[in-house]
Amino acid sequence: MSANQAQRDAGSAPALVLDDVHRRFGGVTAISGVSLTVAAGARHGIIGPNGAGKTTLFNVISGELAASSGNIHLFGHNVTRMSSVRRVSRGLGRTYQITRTFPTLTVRENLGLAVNGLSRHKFSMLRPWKTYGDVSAAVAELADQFELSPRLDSPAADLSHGEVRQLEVALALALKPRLLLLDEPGAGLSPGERVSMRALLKRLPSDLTLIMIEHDMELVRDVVDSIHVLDFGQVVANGTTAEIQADEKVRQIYLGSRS
Amino acid sequence: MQNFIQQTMNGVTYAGLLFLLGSGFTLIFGLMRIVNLAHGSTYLVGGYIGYTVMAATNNFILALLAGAVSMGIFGVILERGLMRQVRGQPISELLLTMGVSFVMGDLALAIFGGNPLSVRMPGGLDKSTLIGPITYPNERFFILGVAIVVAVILYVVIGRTRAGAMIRAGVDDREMVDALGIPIKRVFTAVFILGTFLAGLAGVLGASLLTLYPGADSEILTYALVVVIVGGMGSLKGAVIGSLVVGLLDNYGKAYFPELAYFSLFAPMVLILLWRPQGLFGKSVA
Amino acid sequence: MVALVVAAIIPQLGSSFYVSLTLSVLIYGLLAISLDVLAGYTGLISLGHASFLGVGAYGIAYALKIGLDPIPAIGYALVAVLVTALLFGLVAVRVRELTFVILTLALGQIVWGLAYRWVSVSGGDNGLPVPGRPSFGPFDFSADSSYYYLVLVVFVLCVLVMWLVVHSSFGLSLRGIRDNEARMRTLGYNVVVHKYLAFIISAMFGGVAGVLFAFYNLYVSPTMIDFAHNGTVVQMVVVGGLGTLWGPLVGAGVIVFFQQFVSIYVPRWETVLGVIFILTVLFARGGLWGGLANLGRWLRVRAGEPPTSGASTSQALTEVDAASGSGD
Repeated sequence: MSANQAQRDAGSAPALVLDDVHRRFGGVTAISGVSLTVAAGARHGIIGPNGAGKTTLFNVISGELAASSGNIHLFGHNVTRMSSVRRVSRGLGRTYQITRTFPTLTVRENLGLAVNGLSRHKFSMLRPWKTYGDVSAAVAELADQFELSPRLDSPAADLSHGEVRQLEVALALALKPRLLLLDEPGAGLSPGERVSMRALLKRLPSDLTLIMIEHDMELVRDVVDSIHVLDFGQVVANGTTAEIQADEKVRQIYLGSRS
Repeated sequence: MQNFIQQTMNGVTYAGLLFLLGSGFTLIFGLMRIVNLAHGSTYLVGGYIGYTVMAATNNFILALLAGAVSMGIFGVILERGLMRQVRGQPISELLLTMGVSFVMGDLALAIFGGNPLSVRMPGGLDKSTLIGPITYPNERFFILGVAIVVAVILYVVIGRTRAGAMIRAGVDDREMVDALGIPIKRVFTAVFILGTFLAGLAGVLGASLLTLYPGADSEILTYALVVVIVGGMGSLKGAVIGSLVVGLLDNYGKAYFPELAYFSLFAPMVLILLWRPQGLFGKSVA
Repeated sequence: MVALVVAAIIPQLGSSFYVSLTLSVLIYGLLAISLDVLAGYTGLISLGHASFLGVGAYGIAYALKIGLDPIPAIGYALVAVLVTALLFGLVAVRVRELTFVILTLALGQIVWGLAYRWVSVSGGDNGLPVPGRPSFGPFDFSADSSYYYLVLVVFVLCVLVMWLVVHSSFGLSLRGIRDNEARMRTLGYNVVVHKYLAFIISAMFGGVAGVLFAFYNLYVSPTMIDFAHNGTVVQMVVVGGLGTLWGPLVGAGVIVFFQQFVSIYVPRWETVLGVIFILTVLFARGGLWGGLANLGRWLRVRAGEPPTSGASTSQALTEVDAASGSGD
């Protein structure tokens, strides 16, 4: 019995374990020997300058890119060889830096699609989808949680940038993930929208494990308890939010002592 | 046996014609993601123009040039004028080329009439040569020759020159190319013109090998599409192999199984697609 | 919407020419609507859709030729369509979006080619005659006007079913696939299966149109499924309005109108249609139906009602198209 299995049986498997993960593109090493553990229920951040490999790391975790070497464990299961779709069924959720919603569909339909993804109804052909009570209820609840109720009948293409980002998170949450990867939820938001997003993220269920890539330090400070710092594809620092904020080396990396 | 060699030669020369069409089509798709459904009409109109010049001057080379160049110019107008309006929207681009083919087809009918037209190659090309056991028409050799020359030129230009490198980079990763400051718009136009030029050239050659008539545009387009599907979108190597596959299979099919002629095209295409949905040399589906 | 259905019932009072005309609009409308399910709602533009009309029409003609009774013959034809759809779909849905378009074009041409060459079955370019219309019990359909009612009933039933499909959970998933296929995968949908089902459903209704057509025209020939006709069906859908379900019916009406009336005065009517098609693609992706919807919206706003959901279909569809353009 591996240590992971024992942990799983004890019900406290870490949400995510990366074990010496590498990702190479031809001659370029984008991710180099990244190892980290995120406990279940934790609120974790990944920060680093542009090009440090943060989104690539997310792509490797979510399975959209295969790891060149190393292992990835999700709640105790080794998912390194699994497709991203299968990882989703194992509890992994993710949002994207460039939003991927359904532009011609209304907010209600967007959410409906996400909620239906889990349900058995998705092949039902002769009954209007809105008549399924459980689906409609889930959609209403999500809309409420993400302050999108007034926009339920607007096409996603009509939403403001902030609202689209909220929809993005809502879509990820509709699948009831156990681990949520948030890729720069605050990107491109106005200060007011950022406040809303902050509040929204803090309201996420406490049993949901969160890993967030962000540049906005206020968002990071408010939402996240511990941080890994990435630079040039490697972990260069990790610790609690307070520790990282005080860390001189991290500040140097951001202030760009190199180009 | 003699018949078989003849059929094989027929298949190979037809493959040459198909390559001229397929190469342009696959490059336009590979680089610009445009499915140019007007390619068949370009072939037809280019051929008609070549026919007209031939009838007027009896100069075959001039006819060839006229057909090719006129379609090259048309390509500029089409790309700059219409296609630019819907740049980056593949479905719209496709539908647009479809509309253009409707208009071209009807106008061609109006201008050139409904009777089949053909061109006879001049002088020596009109005769046949004794090759081993068979006598084979020179005009077919000429067409094959043109196709081979074009293939070599394309190979050199795309594989070895800076311009070609830009095209290859564009096929591989368009956003990157933009970021690198390569004048991608000009590359697009150039490739588009190349495609229409080759189609026009093929049209004049087709006027002698086959005939030109309303409906020839969609017939040849179908073949060109199968070539590109089998060979893989965006791959010149695929266009070569695809043309050979389609040309040979079509000829053998027509010769030996006339009732099921299209099956000889269909079955291999389907089999290849079942095995490799991206075609023999295409990039794999995400 | 219901008003349109009522309007369609009225032409029965007209002369036999108009009845015949409306019949062809209904039949082609059905074909176009079935294509819309695939093209407008799922985003898979098929350039070979008329071939399903062909298989249905040839199927029934051949079945009757070999002596089957009308009802089993219809079954025979529909099975033929199903088998064709199962086979074609198997290859078609696994390829990339744009490859799908040209693959279906090739497949459509193959059916046409078979209709030409497989003389023993299809009669080659002589085609196959259809020996009269069936009678079901007390109903005799040999007169165009009575056949009209049958076609109308079938049409309404078919569109009703398609309407339900399009508004169902499955239909929602199709639109999701059209808008953002990659995201659908990450939401846990098996996109290939959905596309396959959409393809088959679309084909089956096309086949029904084929059976209706065979009994309407009483003659089937390869010309009906040639490249031009495949293109015409797409024209009907685009000009009528992609993804609107009713738009293609309007589109069918427009095209038939051009074929029958405009052609008398304007010899180059096909060019005109082509230009209209181009203009629709460039400036009005919502087609005529989208235009009517916008007009309705505009009128309502002027009448003082608050504006409802904003973006017109055409603008949103353009955005979807652009998004897929950079991804692919």
